[in-house]
Amino acid sequence: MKQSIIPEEKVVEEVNKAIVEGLDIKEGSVAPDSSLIRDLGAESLDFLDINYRLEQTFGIKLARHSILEHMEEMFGEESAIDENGRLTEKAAAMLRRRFGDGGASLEPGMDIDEVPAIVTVRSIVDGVLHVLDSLPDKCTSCGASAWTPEDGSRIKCGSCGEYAVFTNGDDLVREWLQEMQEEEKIF
Amino acid sequence: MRAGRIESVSPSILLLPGKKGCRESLRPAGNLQGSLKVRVVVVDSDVISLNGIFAGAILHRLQIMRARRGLGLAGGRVESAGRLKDMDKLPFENRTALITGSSRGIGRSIALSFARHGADIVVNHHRQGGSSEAGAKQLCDEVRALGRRAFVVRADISVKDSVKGLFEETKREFDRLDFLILNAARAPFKPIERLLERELRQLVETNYLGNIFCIQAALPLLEKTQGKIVFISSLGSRFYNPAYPLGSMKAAMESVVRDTAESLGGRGISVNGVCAGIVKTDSFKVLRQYMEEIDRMPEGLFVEPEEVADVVMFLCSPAGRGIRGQTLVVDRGLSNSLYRSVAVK
Ligand SMILES: NC(=O)c1ccc[n+]([C@@H]2O[C@H](COP(=O)([O-])OP(=O)(O)OC[C@H]3O[C@@H](n4cnc5c(N)ncnc54)[C@H](OP(=O)(O)O)[C@@H]3O)[C@@H](O)[C@H]2O)c1
Ligand SMILES: [Zn+2]
Repeated sequence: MKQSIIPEEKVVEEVNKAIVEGLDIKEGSVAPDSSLIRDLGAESLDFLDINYRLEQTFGIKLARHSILEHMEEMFGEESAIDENGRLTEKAAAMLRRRFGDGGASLEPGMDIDEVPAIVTVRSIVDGVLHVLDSLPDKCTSCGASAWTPEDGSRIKCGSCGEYAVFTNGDDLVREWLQEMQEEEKIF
Repeated sequence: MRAGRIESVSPSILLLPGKKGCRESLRPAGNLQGSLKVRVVVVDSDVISLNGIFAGAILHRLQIMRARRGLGLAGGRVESAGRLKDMDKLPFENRTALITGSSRGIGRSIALSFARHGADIVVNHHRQGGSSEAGAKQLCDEVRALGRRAFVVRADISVKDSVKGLFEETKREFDRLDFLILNAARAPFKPIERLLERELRQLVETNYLGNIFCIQAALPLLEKTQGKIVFISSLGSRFYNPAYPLGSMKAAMESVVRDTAESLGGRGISVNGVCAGIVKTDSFKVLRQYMEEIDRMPEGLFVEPEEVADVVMFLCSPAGRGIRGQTLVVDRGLSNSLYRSVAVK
């Protein structure tokens, strides 16, 4: 279900804030299509910091494993990363579907260490929205459909007061891969 | 008894020449603050009795304090555990320590501790550029600012040739090695049954083979100095941690510690380990993702990197000479208690 309790602008604002604080950079230096690694100087550990901040803010769990790791677990080892540590054709095709325009720089055969550079501010926003959109119709505690926002970034049950429970990011990535695979038979 | 001779009597009592029965108490300064409190008993003799890791540093401090009060300290030479040495020498002066994975976290803290105690440092890290290289370089600068020598070798411990280069460079630069601290580690956080073959191999190559490559390559140098090896382990070696396959490698390495303590003991090399509790380093950021409630653990149960470093210093000091093949747990009691009342934020 696409939730509308937390507006996209709020997510954009919080993502920008998490990036500015996590990377300790100047406000205003973050554009939607900035690559965190290429343009903002992030390293892999910085993603943990940024994700942690966002998880605390929205009460969600973002993906802990990369989409390539999930592909390998689901479709077999070396299905996404070949024996030389390079991106396979199939994985590149899957990533392009996932990242749209952002994935334009993806090439089969590229070093997988270069893949994370495709993550942009926009793709982090999408990741957060994706998890927020897993908001169930009804409260899992009391069954009421009475979601209300709290502090602009949390969703609470208006009936019993429990916070909403979302699907975690890793499960969502796996679901998405499963659906895409069924539709397009890439692997 | 000769002036200034040190008898190893008790770890916390200094016997000083002076007026019989007079008592002084002393808290060591600087980085020794809080790590040790000594009671000083002045006896009618010229014997200074001290058995302990910071002997030199403590007596140096004591000498200054007593001089200020117009009290003398017979002799100017001191050494822990019974030998004579120059008084103002730090315990690890002219010694060399190599700490794998010292660009940040616990390894960095151990390197700084060694430097403060007088040792020259080989800094090692793996990743090229970025915060890793910057961290290694900064550590080097800090060590040099302490008046010690230091240099960085970028090397991947999981690659035998790379390790070979690491020790060749150590030999070339310092021509000696006294302490090898096996600290570098890197592992995926995932349940074991989900590890891909590539991840499994990397797990074993970095965290098991890598350490053994280091031990093998260091032997010729360590043999000459009767050196010491300390492996940094974690509670995962003994207890379940969600998504922590590294634990099995730590268990294997604790076994290697027992094994090599015996097989290398005859060549004068001592091997021990320090098993740390939970330390808030970069790797904690990953751990936190898999142990969600960990943020609610009382602050007092988190171990500081310096607390791990202090025990490494102890094991490398003469005071630790009787310990062989052991892995000492430094966890603020985390693993000691079956029951804890609900953690409060
Ligand atoms: N943090 C804890 O809670 C905790 C608890 C118990 C035990 N420990 C143990 O303490 C040790 C240090 O932990 P930490 O938390 O300080 O780790 P950390 O912050 O993750 O730092 C790891 C260090 O190891 C280096 N390294 C990784 N792979 C390497 C390789 N293949 N070759 C050479 N260097 C490599 C890293 O270098 P780069 O900068 O190049 O990546 C970095 O300097 C580890 O053995 C860990 O298992 C940690
Ligand atoms: Zn409810």
